[in-house]
Amino acid sequence: MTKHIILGSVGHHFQTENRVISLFQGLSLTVSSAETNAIVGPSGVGKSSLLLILAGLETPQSGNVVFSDGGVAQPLLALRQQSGFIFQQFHLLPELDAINNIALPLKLKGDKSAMEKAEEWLCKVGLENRAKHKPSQLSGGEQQRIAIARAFVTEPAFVFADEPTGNLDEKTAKDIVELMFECSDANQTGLVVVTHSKALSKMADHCYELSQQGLLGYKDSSVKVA
Amino acid sequence: MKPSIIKLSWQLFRQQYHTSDNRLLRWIQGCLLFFLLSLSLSSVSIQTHLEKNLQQLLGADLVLSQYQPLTESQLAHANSLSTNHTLVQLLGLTLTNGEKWQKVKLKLVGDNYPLQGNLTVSDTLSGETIAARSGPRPGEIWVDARLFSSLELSIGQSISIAEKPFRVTRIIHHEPDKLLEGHGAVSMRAMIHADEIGLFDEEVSELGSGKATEAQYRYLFETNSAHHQSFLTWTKKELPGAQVVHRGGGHPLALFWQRTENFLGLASVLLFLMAAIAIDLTGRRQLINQKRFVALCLSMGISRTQGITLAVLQWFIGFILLLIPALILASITQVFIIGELQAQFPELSSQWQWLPIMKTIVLLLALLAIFQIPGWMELSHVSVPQLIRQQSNKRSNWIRFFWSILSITGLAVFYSDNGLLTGFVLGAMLATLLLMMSLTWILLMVGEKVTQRRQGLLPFTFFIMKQRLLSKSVQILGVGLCVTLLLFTLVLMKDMGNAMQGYVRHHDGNLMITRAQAHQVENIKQWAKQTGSQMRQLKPYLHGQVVKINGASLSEHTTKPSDSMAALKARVRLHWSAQVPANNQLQSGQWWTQNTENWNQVSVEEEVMTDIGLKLGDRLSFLVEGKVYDFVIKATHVYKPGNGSITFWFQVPPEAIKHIDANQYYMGSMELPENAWPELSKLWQQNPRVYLLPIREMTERFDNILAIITKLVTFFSAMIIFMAVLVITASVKGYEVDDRKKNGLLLSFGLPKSSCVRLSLYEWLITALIAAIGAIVGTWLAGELIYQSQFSMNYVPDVLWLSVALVITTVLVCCAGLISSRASLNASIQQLVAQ
Repeated sequence: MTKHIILGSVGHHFQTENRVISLFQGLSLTVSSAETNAIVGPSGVGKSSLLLILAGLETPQSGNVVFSDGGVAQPLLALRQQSGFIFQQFHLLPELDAINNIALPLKLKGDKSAMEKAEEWLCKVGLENRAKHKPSQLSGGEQQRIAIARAFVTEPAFVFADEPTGNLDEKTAKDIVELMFECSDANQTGLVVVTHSKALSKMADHCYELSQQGLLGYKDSSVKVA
Repeated sequence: MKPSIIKLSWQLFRQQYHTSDNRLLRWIQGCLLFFLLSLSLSSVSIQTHLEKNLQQLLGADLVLSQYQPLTESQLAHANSLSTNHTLVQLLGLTLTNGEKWQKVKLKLVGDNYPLQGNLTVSDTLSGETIAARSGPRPGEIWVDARLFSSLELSIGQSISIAEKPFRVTRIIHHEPDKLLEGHGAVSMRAMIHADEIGLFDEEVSELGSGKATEAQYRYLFETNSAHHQSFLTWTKKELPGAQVVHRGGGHPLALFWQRTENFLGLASVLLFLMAAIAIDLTGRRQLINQKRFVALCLSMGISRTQGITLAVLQWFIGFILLLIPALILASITQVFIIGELQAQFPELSSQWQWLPIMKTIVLLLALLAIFQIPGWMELSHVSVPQLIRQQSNKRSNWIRFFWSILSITGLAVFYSDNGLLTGFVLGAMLATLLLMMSLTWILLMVGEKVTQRRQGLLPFTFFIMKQRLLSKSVQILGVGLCVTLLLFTLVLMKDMGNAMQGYVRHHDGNLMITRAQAHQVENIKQWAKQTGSQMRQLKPYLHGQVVKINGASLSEHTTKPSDSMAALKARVRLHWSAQVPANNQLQSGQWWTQNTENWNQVSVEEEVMTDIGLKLGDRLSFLVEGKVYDFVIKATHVYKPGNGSITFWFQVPPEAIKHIDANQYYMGSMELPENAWPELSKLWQQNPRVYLLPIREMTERFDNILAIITKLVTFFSAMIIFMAVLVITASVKGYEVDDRKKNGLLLSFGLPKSSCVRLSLYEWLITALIAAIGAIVGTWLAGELIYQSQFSMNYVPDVLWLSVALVITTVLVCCAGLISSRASLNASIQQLVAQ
C-alpha cells in the first residue's frame, strides 16, 4: 500500500546569536513511497533541513507533517521505523566489516537471516568480494555502495539521501546514482535525494528546486509553489 | 633549535590546551606528579629530621651495642681510640604496682652517665624539668613519664625489683641517648644505678668476661671523628654482632623509613599502571591529530625531524606547566603529612631540598616520556599519502604495550625493596588482567553466538561489543584494574583489623609467651593450673645473629633494604625440630632425617630467602653467645595455617643443640579465662623476666598502627578512585567520536533515543560485571598470596561482603560510565547530516 509524507504549509528558520535566519515559509509538499524525488538548490537555502523535516527528524517552526499509510495518519515514529538514510560522509562504522555494516539494522531488529540478507545486498551492490573488508580498506564509491545497501536492506518505505555523491568523482557518482534509483525501483521504496547534481535530479520522478523564493517543481503539477 | 619551532610549539600547545583530550591527559599526569612529589617532599623532611636527630640525640660521638660485655682487651682497645666512655646496661622486665603491670626496659647507668647532652627530669608530671648531672643513686629508681602514669606511681613511693625495694625519686623526660631507644611506641623505660647489677646475676655476666647474656650492653664513647673509621674496621673484624652508630653515619630509623618509602613507591607503581591505561586511551585520538599535523608539515616542506620536535616540545611544555601546580599542591600535602607524623616524631618539621626533588622530577619526566615514545615513533613513520589514505598501524599496539611495561618495570625496580611483595602484587594484577581479558573474550564470543538469532538490544549489544573486542578489552581492563586495586585496599584494611582480633585469638589463645626460660616455663605451667588457663603452644629456641653469608657480612651480601634485612641486623630466634613443624610446609630442598649426625643444616623461611637473596647450599654463620656456628641451607619452608601461628625463620636439626652452648628459651601461647587476668601480676612479680604479651595489648598496639595505616590507605584509595574516574572518562572519550556516530546511525535506523541509552547501559553493565568479577578474583588471589607471606594470616573471603561489593561496584561503574557517555548519547542524525 502506498505511503505518503505530507508537508502542510511548513515554515522553518534557525537562530544564530544575534539574528534569525529564515529558510522557508508556507511550503507544502507530498512525497509518495512509490516515487523518487530530488531536491536541488544553492547552499544554505535549507535543503538538508527540508530533508530532515520530511524524515520526521526535525520539527518545523510552523505548519504540520503527516505520515499517512493507505490514507490513515500514522505517528512520525512509525515513519522513522520505515526509513533508511544515506549520508554524504557514508558513516560506516569503522570497526565493522562491509557485510556487518549492511547487517547492522537487521541485527537491531533481530532478523534471524540478517547475514544472508546482507550477503544478498552485497551482491546487489556488486561488492561480493569485499565482504570482510573494513571501511578503511574500501574506496569512497565502495563505501557509499555499502551505505546504500545498508539503507535498503530493511526494505523501508522511504530512503533519504543527503548529497550522496558529494564526495565522489563524476563516473563513480553516476554509478552510485544509478544504483540508488535501481534499488528504489526494485523495492518500491520512496527515495528523497538532496543534491547539487543536475544529472541526478533529472533521473527522479519529481524534482524540486528550493530557493529564497520557495519550492519550485519541475515535473509534477502537484507541486505547490510557496 | 630554531626559536620559531619553540614559538610554534607554544602556539600549538595553547590551541590544544582546552580540548577535552588534553584536559584529561593533564589530569592523569598531574595526578601522578602530585603523588610522587608529595612522597618525595615528605621523604626529604623525614630524612633531614633523621640526620639532625642523629647529631643531637646520640649522647656520644659513637655508640656500640651488643648482647655481651666487651672483654678487658676489647675495652682497652676501644679506649685507645676514644677519650672517655660510659656503659649503659639494658634489661627487659615487667614492673608491677599493685595489680598494675607494665613491660619496661630497665637501664642501669654509672656515675659518669650522661656522657654528652642532657638528662632532663622533674618531680611531678607537669612540673618544671631540670638537667640532672648524673643518673639515680643506688636504691633510687627514675621512671619515664608514660610509665609513671601507667603504673599510677607517686614520687617517694617504693616499688620492688627482684624483691628489693626502690624509691621512685624522679620522672625522666629526656635521655641524651634517646635515639637508640627509638621513638613513640617503644618500651617504657626505668633507670637505676649500675651498682644494682647484683640483682640480676642470672641475666648478666661479669663485666669484662665477654660472655653473652640476655642483657644488652651499650657503650657510649667520646671520640674524635678521625677515629670513627678505625673503630668501624675494628668492630667489623672483632665484634661481628655489634651495632655501631656514630655521628656522620646512618640513622637507625633511616632504613625503616626507606622501607616505608619503598612500600609507598609500590603503591605508585600501581597508580602508574592505571595511568598507563588511561594515557593510552586518551592518547589514541591525540596521536591521530598529531600524525595529521606532522603529515601536513611534510606536505608543506617542513622536515620530519622538525615535525616530531614540535610534538615533543609541545608535550614538554605541558609537563613543565603541570609541574608548577603539582609542586604547590604537593608542598601543601607535605605540610599536612608532616603534621600528622608529628604525633610520633615531635621534632619533625617540613623541609625543602632541591636535589632529591629534582631527582624525582627527572624520574617522572623520563617515565612519562616513555609513555609517549610509541607515539613519537609512529610520528616518524608518517607520510603525506596518509593524509589521503588513512592507514592503521597494527604493530603500534604491541609497541605501546612494550613501552608501557618498560616504564612500569623501571618504576618498580627503582622503588621496590621487597621483591616478593612486589612480585606477588604485580603477579596478582597480571593474573587479574589475563582473567578479565579471557572473560571478556569468552563472554562476548559466547554471548554473541547464543543471541545471534534473537531479537532485542541485548543481542545487538553483544554483537557490537564483539566487533569492538580489542577496544572493549582495553576499556574493561582499565576499569577492572581500578576496581581490583580499590577492592583489595579496602579488603586488606578490613581483614587486618578482623584477623588480628579474631584469628590470632582463635588459634593462639589470648596471651603470647614471647620469651621464657625452662624454669620459668615450669612456674607458668603451675600458675596456669592454679588459674584454669590452658597452654596452647610451646616451642623452644635460642638466640642467634646472622653475621655472615658465604663468608661475607650482611651489608656486603646485600644492600637492598627489606623487612627481613632489618630484622637480621638484630638477634633472631633459632628453632630446632626433627620434622617439618605442623604449621609449616616444605617449599624446596630436603628436610633432615631424624637423628641425623649432620647437624650443620638449616631451613630458612621462603620470604627471607627472597628478600636476602639466598639460595639452597648457601652458608650462614650464626653468632650464638659469642661463638660463631656455620650452617648450610638445605631446605626452605613456608607458613601453613591451621596449627598456630608461631613460625620460625631459621630451623635446625635437634642434634645441633648438643653442639651449641647457649641459653634455651621458649615461645608459646596460652588461653586465659577472664578470672585469670587479675592474677597475672602475681606471675610477673615472681618472674619479672618472663616476656608475656596479652593479645589485647597486641591489638591495641596494632590499632595505633592501623590508625596511621588507615589514613594512608584512605589517601591512597582517594587517589585510586580519582584515577578510576579518569580511566573511565578516558575510555569513553577515546571512543566518543565512534560512539557518537554509532548512536546517530541507530537513530537513523528508527530507534528511539531511549534505546541508545539502554544499549549504552547494557554495554556498561557487561563491562562492570566483568570488571567486578575480575576484581573479586584478583582480590582473592592477591589475598591468598600476600596475606600468608606478608602477614602470616589465612585469607578467608567474606562471601556476603564480596557480593555486596560486587553489586555496589557494578552500579557505580555503570553510573560513572553512563555519566561519562552522556555526550555521545546526545548524538543525532542532524549531526551526521551536518558532517
